[in-house]
Order: sequence, then structure tokens, then C-alpha cells
Amino acid sequence: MKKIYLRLMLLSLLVGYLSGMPRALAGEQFDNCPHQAFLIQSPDAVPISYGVDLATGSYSVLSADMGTTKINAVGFNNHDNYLYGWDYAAATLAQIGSDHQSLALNVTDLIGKPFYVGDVSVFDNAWYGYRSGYGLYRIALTTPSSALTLEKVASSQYMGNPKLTDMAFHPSDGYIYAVDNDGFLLKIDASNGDTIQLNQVLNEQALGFNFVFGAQYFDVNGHLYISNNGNGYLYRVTVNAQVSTAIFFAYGPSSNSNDGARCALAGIESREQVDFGDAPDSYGTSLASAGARHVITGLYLGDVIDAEADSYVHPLSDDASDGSNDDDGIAFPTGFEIAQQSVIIVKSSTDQGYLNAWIDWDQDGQFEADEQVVQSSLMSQGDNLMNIAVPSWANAGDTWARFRLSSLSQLLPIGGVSDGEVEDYLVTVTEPGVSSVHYPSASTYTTFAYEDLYPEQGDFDMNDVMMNVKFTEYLLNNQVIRIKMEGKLAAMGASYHNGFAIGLVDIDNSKIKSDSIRLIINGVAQTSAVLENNPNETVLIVSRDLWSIAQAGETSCYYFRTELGCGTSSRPSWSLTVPFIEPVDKAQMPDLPYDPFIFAQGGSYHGDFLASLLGNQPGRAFEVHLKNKGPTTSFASQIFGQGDDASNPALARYFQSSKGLPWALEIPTNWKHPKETVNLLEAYPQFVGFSADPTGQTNRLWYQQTHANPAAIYQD
Amino acid sequence: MGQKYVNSISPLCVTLLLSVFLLSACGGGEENESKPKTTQVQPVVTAPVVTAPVVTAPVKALTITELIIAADHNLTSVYQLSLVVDISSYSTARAFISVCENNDQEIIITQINYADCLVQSPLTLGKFAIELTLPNHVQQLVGVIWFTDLAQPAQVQHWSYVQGGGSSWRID
Repeated sequence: MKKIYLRLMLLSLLVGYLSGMPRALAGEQFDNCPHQAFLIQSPDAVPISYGVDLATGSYSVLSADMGTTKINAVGFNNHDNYLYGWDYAAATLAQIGSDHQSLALNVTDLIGKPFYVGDVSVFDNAWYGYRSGYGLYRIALTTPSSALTLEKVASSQYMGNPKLTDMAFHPSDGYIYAVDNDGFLLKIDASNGDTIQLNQVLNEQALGFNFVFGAQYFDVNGHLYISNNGNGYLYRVTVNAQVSTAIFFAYGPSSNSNDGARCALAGIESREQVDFGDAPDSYGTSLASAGARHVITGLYLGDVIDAEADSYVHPLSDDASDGSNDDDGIAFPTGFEIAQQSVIIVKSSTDQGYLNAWIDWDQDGQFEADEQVVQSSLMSQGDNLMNIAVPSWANAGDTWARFRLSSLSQLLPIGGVSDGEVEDYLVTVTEPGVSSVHYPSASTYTTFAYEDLYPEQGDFDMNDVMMNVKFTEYLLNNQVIRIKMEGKLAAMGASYHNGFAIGLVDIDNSKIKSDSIRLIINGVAQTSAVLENNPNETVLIVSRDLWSIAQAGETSCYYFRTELGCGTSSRPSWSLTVPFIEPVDKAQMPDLPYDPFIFAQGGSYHGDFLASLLGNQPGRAFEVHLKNKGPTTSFASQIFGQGDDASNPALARYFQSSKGLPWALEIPTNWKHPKETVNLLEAYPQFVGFSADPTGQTNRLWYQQTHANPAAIYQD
Repeated sequence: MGQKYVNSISPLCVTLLLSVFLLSACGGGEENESKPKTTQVQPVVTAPVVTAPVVTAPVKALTITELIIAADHNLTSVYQLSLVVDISSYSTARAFISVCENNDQEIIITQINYADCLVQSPLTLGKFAIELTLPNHVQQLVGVIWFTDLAQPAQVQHWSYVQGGGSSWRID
């Protein structure tokens, strides 16, 4: 290829010499179909070439002097990997190689006017230029070093005199597309100039600034990217006939003279270190959704920033998967009460960043303009205290907040930018005067560990079902108005199909606002009934079969996170919010952690013992509770006293053996559990002393990892 | 464990009693008998060293099914803390308290992990009270009273668990 091209260059020099035009050797080709976009700007009398990462809007100067006065109507030719554009000084088409120097080509039949709208066809190996008042023209590039001819395709009048400032060839349908200065998408047939005006994708009045889309490019997926000269805003157009749409995509460089070119067969990907948010994608989080993203520099929130190839949208989290929590820049020392002021602490790495922030007060899954709570606020280095006013129309409950720090003062909640950081937080909005009481704390979990062979003695590895849960009670005037429980399945070392539920002893279920219960499992809202229809008690079903939300590990794993080599950082997670119709006095509420228990999935095999005792598989009639927590009314009380069970309801002694051994334990931390078939004492020897002392004061920290036998506890 | 524990103590006691007996006999021998006899009983003096493993061996050998746990021992690892806040004597301005786990008495209040709090609540005319359930391992807390008027400095107090001490905390 290069040898052939050298011959062509020699021929070109000869032709140039013979034609009397100044010629030089062109630079080397560009890499095959580069992913970055080329932006040619001429702020003064010298054109500058930029490389633009469309994924983030970040850019760098590729050449500060392209060797001429002005270049426009540039296109990337995927047939030979050169750029072609109109050289104003040479008054002809020019070839531009990887040295970013303009090499004028020998073109005849010129119209005496420069072109500032142009691109190279993906299929045709020809440059096309459009000039208002003249029309659409074509120059074949099969042998660019030979004498070339400017051919007229269609008159401007025939095309409807479109007001274009750049255009781009679609990578697959072969048509030219362009967004005009009124925000309408045009589709042009390059073979004859037939022009169709599609719908308006952007509106100047709505956005509040003028349109001059001087640089327009395609990616391989057929998305058109258009850069506005005045502010550098980059929009992505999804081409879809008359229902095409455009969304803001990134903050790029602005200029009064802009032209862009890009290999239309390249995808959009960032080659830089980029930070993304992790809110649900409805907020604009992933790259596909033009999500908020920042090129990593020395400007960031908190102490840590890390890069992702794309966002880990909720319920995924890069903080969980990589063990590095970079959402560390914003602290919430007060709650968010409706119609009240709150306080936040913002930590900035420098004094060069502006903060913009949004909170989805109406919980509609989007950050809207009236939900911007911080606007262009210049941060000091270190901690910054700020007030945030919660509007009176905010809804109580969990919602998302987004904080963006950048050297750009004004940002939208979406789009890429060349520095700073984005941090997304799940925050809770409450009614005025509401207290939030957490157990064990707002960010830590307690562990419920069950043996499911009840009433027969198990192996006491306490991992047949292990559930991490944290609780929040919302109190107003010392009455509980709502509770929230959040859980993660920590381990399941049993093949039986068990469900998990939480009982509220002595709370009549008529006090629960059942139609407002909200259960979310793995980020998906559930429609199944949560509140059991048993009068005089409240039983909240989280899952009727925990194996339906978890999977055993691969390669010879029978269980979930109990066997060697069967680890995963993934945890099936759930959140359950339960409002009360009438607030319940705090004194009448059961003590935390209420009554969490497991039960058998309806109809599933749960051992011969129970089948024989009850005449069929136990289903909901089988329950295992913490020691001395009583069963629900669904429990088959004839199980008491069977097998190894020595419950005595008359003495309020439940779910214990004749030696006081339990079938369930609560350990108020994210407990490191024993390996499969390794019993509790082997893993935690101090349990001996703890269990022997009825006051619970001996070895009261027996469950901590520092007291564990490392060889006996499970590690992922 | 309880049953095994009892069983394990018995041989230990026997051993110790035997040792004491021998020592007494030995001691008595030192007073009443000749040196050679005293020398003969020296190995018995070191018997506790020899028998030391007897103290721990039964614990290691203990199996969970040998434990005996009191029927009313619920095996919970939590305790209660009664928190009372009353700053009404010097402020009834809109204020908010956050109580969080914190083991650093010198920590700067802006660097407290407010995502790990046990309670967050507005004060009502400078007052608030709550009964908290704390895991046994949570032994130090920090309470910060924030005023939404940022011109007023936040107030901070620390609390530490004392075994056998009172489980109440008053911030005023």
C-alpha cells in the first residue's frame, strides 16, 4: 500500500510541477479508522487541529498550525485513512495526513467559492461539498494525486436551499444527514441531491442559545453527533426518520469556526480514565444514556476517584465490586425534611471546581431543572458547608441525588466533561420533624443465621440461611410512622427451599398501610403480596423461596457462598418499606430487630421427618425463629417437642433444644460465617464462654473476626 | 458446653486439690521432715505446669452439642442506651442531632462518617430523647448537634461504653 502510494505521490509531484501549483509530500495516513473525532478550528489566521473524545467531550491539540490559513468542510476517508477538506488559501480540496498538514490537490471546474460544508462518503470514496446558493458537489478520490474534477450533483435550489454548517455520511444507509441551524434533521441523497426535512430534534428557544452546528459526525451505530459552535455543547441524535431525537451528550470545545470529521465506522469509546455515576440509568448514568461522566484529573470530590469503562448503574455498584468507595465527597450530617433547610458537607480536592447538584424530589426517576439544588457554586479546597432547601412539594422516601464538580461552572445532570467527578447518592427525604433510628446503623448490617433441619439437630455451621439486614424506624412525636428494612442474602448452605419473613409481634396487620408497602428485590419492584392476611399479627414476606433470587457458584458448587471456591461479591439484595396507617407508639413497637424467621417454600421437600409428622411437606407451616421468639399463627405447633426441639410455649421458650441450643442466631454485624459443615465452636471458640453466661457479659464480643479461627471461617 | 465444662472442672479440681494436698503434705514435710524427703516431692511442686493442658484440653474438645445454655439466655449481643438531648437552656433554634459510631475522640466533625449513624433527628425546641439498641462491639459514639443556621457552630460530645456502668447518655 505504501509503495503504491509513494508512486502516486511522485506522480502527484510531477503533475503539480507541470500544473505550476505548489505541492509537497503528504504526511502518513492516520491509523485505521481512529475512534477520536477531528475538529478543525480557525480562531485566527491559522487552523488548529483537535482530537476530540466524543465519549467525554475532552479534547487535545493535535496540531497548532496546519500549514495554511483556514480549512473547512473536512471529512475522514475510510478508503485511504486521510482527511480531506477545503483549503481556503489554496482555494481547492486538500489532503491531510497524520502530520495534520494540508496538501492542496489539483481540482478543476471549481466554482470560485470555498466550501464550508462537506464530508467523505463511506461507500463512494468521494468527497462531497455543499454550498448554499450553489448546491451539492462531488470530487472522486480514487486517485487523489491525479487531476480531480468538481462535479455538480444538484443545485441548492433543487435541494430546497437548506441552511447547513456541516454534514455527515451515515455509516450504513449511505445518506447524508445534517442538522440545520433551526434544529431540523435533514436527509440528503448523495446521488441526486434529493433532500428530505425530517423532524426538529432541537429547539433554539427551548434551549436558550443559537444553533450553529459546525461539526457533525457519525459513529458506527448510526448516531449523529453535532457540536454547537457557540458553547461547544455536543448532542447525540438518534436517527429514526420523522421521530428522530437528540440528547445532550458532552461538553466540547467551542469556536466561531468549527468543522469536524470522523471515521463513521468507529464506535464511541473513551480511551481516557473516566468516572461515571451509579444512579439508575433513568437519570442519565451510562454512556449509552449520555450519562454524567468526567475525565479523571486532579479535581475531584472527597479523597478517592476511580475510573470505569462505563457506569455500574444501580443496583450494581463499582464501589461494591472493586472494594473502593469513591462516593466519599458528600456527607449528610442532617436529614432532608420536607420544607426545611438541611446541611451538607462537600469536600473538594482543589479550589478550582464548581459544584452543581440535583435531588429528585418528586421521585420520578429524572433530574429536572427545578430539582437543581446547587448551581455553579465555587468550592474551596477541603470541606465546604452548605445549606440545601427541601421544597414543600418534595415526596417523602428514598430518592437519588447527583453531585458534579468541574472547572466548567454550569453543567447539566448528564453529559461528559473533561475534568472533575460525579457522585450519586441514595438519600432519604422525610416529613418535617421525623427522626430516623437505625439498627445496627445506617450503613451496617446485622446477620441472622439459621439451621433449617429444625426440629432435628443440624451441623451448627449456622449458614443454611444467612441474611444481612439493617432496620430504620421513622418516628414522629415518638410514634413510628414507617419502617424500612434492607437486606442482603449473605449465604445459603442448604438445598431446602426456604423463604424469609419478618414478623411484628403484637402489631395487628390492620395497622399496616398494605397498599403502600414497597418491596424491591435486586432493584426490581415486586408485585407479590408482602403482608400476610393473618389477623392479629403482622408478617411481612420478603421472599417465599430464597433460591429464586440466588444461584450456587459455578463448578461443583452446591450452595451460595459457603463452600471453598464458591465465592462471589454479588449479594441478592432487597428493600422493604412499610408505612403504618396509624402511627404506633414507640413503646408498643416490638424491639429491634423484630422477629425475622425462615419458613419452607410451599410444597417443596423439607425432609422426611416433617413430611411424616405433618402428612405432607410443611410449606408455610414450618418456621425457624430466633431463640425464644414465638412462631406465627401459620406454624404447625405440633412440631414443638418433636425431634430435638424442647420448646415450651407455656414458659415462652421457643426454638431451643433441651440443652438450650438455638436453631437461629442474631450476630449484630456483617458476620464472617463458618465454612460449610464447620460448626460454630470451631469457628468462634469464645462462643463457649458467651453461651455459658446467662448475663451475656462473658466474651460479649465473641462474634468478631479477631476472635475467629481463620481457617474455619468462609472467605470469598 | 456447660455439662462438659462441669465435667472438665472436676478433674481439674481433683488435680489442683491433689496438688494442694501434696504441696501441703510437701510443705508440711518441709517443716517436719528431712531434706531428702523434701527433695523427693519437688516434682510434685511443678505438677501444675504438667497439668496445665488439662485446663484447656476439655474446652478444645468440647463440641457444640455438649453445650448447655440457659433456657432464658437468648444469645443476643446487644445492649440498650438511653439518649437524652436537651439544649433548650441555651438554644431552641432549628437544630439536628446525628449520633454515629466513632472511635476517635479527636475527630473533626466534618470528617465523621455520617453515613454510619445510629440516629438522625431534628430537635424539638432543643430537645430529643430515644432508646437505642447498640451492638456489643459499638462502644464509642459521637453526637453532633448541627444548626441549620451555619453561623452557629455545631456542638459535639462523645460517649464511651463502660462495662457494668450506666447505659444512659445526656447531652445538654
